[in-house]
Amino acid sequence: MNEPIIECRDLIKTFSSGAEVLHILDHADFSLEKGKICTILGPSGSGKSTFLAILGSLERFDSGSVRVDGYELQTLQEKSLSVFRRKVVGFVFQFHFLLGDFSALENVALPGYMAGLPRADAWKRATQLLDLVGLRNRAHHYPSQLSGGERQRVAIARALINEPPIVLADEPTGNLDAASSEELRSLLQRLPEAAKTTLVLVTHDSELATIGDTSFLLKGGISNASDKGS
Amino acid sequence: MHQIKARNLKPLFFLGLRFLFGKPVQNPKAPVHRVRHSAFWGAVLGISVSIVPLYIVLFVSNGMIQGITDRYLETKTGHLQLALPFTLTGETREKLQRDIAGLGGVASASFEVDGIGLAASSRGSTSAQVRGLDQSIMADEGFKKFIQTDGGTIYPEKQNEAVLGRYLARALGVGVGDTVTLITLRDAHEGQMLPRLSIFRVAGIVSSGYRELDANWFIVRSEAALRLLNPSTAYAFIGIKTVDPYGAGLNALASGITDQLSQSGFSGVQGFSLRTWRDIERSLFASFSSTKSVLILIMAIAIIVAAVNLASALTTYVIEHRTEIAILRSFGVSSQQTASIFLLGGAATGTLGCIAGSAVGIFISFYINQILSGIQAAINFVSRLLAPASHPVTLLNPDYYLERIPISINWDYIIIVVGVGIAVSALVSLVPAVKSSRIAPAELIRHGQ
Repeated sequence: MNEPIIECRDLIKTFSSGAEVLHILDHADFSLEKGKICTILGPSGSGKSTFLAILGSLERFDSGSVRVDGYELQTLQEKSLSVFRRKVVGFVFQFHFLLGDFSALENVALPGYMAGLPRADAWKRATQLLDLVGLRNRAHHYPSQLSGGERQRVAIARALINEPPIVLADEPTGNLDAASSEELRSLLQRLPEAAKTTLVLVTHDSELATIGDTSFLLKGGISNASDKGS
Repeated sequence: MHQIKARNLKPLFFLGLRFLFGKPVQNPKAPVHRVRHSAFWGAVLGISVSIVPLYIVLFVSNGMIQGITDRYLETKTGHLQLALPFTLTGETREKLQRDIAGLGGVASASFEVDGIGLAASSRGSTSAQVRGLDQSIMADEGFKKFIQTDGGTIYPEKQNEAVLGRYLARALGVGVGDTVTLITLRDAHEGQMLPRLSIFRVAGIVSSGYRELDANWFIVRSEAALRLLNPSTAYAFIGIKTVDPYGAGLNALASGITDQLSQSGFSGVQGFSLRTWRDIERSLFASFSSTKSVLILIMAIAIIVAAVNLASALTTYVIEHRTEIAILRSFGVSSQQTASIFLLGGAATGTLGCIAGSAVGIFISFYINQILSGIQAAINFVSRLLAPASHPVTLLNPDYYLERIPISINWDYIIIVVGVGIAVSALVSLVPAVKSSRIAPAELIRHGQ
């Protein structure tokens, strides 16, 4: 077995709601090899999105350890977490979260430009990524001029601009129709090879779940649901 | 993986400007975006509108003060005044005058005797400031530049001739060729004083262009003044014009003249004293300066109000666009960078406002005389239409102000105004900037749920 790119040990995450304390993750362990597609399944409210947010450092956790591409997240301060998000992870959310005042090309290029890439390089790489997701001809369209599926594909291209070793996708087909979901499924399936990345995918979609090399079920803790082997 | 370069301001500017001002109209069907961006164009407009009157106040008040100061210096006080004992002989005085005129940095030196009298004509009487000018005043370019004649000469050729200020002549109802009587006081025996009546022919009527100055001028030849004025109330002096009255060298020149007095043996002699124009009219110029400061302060408050409007627009933007800010944070934009985006955006808004306001303000200031004339003509045209018998309106009454405002564009002021405008805009943007930096990327998850 290769060294894991993500490794969580004894992870605890709770939310307080008044006097009630909700245990989302209770001493959870998780490990994932580089270059794999991992799907995380579970019922609504089981904490799938929260778990993904913890892996991407969007959310803090109560205790335990999370190591992602060598970064020990529990030790990082706010400034280092920004660097981690910039260098290590790319996000794809259920809602595309594109910036409305920026074209598809600019949306994709922006994280690279903000990370210090020269403007010309960022725009060039964004064009290549739009090509990868099949939207080169829509580069200068604005989010409001794109369909739901196209917006999600732009979001995927954006997640890849800084060549992150890990892409975290949170129910990316959740708001799409069947045809768009199928297109996106196909794109996500070839992502690890095309973009040399590891994909962690939270989904409800049983079709989408089939693309995973390994699946985990989140229900209180995390359990390995299936492993296709490599 | 590519190397992350050091922090770069360009992308922050790119983001800030796009956030606040949007892309050039690409999507006319996005009214929400247009409304959002119009708030910032409104902030730009607010700042520019607040800056325009500041420039007008600065340049007009500066022009007015400079114009009035020039007139005071060139037609009345001179740049330096050397007070003389009234009893000084003509020969000694003329030698001293020649010695001073020969000093480096001195443009001219002219003897003058001033006193008070009562001018009277068949139509009325009024107090008058008797100015006994030496013939050498006609060699003073500054005096000739600012004295304009309404008729006759600007200097009396004969002992019984007088040149009157425009408003004194009007008060007396006299013109060139008419006669006026000047009543002064002369010493009688045992400390008593008696009136002395002297008749003069009006040889000319002049104006400096500023009523305060020439309202009382009764100009006679210095020999006549020495004869008519009472030594106990009159003031004799040499008015000295220098090459650079506003420069730092004026005090050094004053020291040179004091040395000259010592060499001539007048050091410590009673009746001699030397003052610069700043000392002579100190209270007047202090009054000008404080009036200008108050006006600038009032105008500065308008800029602060406009800057607060910008801060309000930015804060509203941050509150309404937490999600977009959280998106930036999710792909690694640090809280510091987020704050910088809004700080730079605010500064850019201020810069746009300052540039636009400066352009308009400078243009209006530059053409203020023409603009005022145009407005005055328009008002009078309308009032004549509505009330044919109405008196013409004069916006800046030349009786009390300069007839024409001398405007000179001062680049130091422009740099200060633009610099302060941008700094204030950046300063007020601090609050929304800090607010934006506190938005956590986790807000995206809340949004998605």
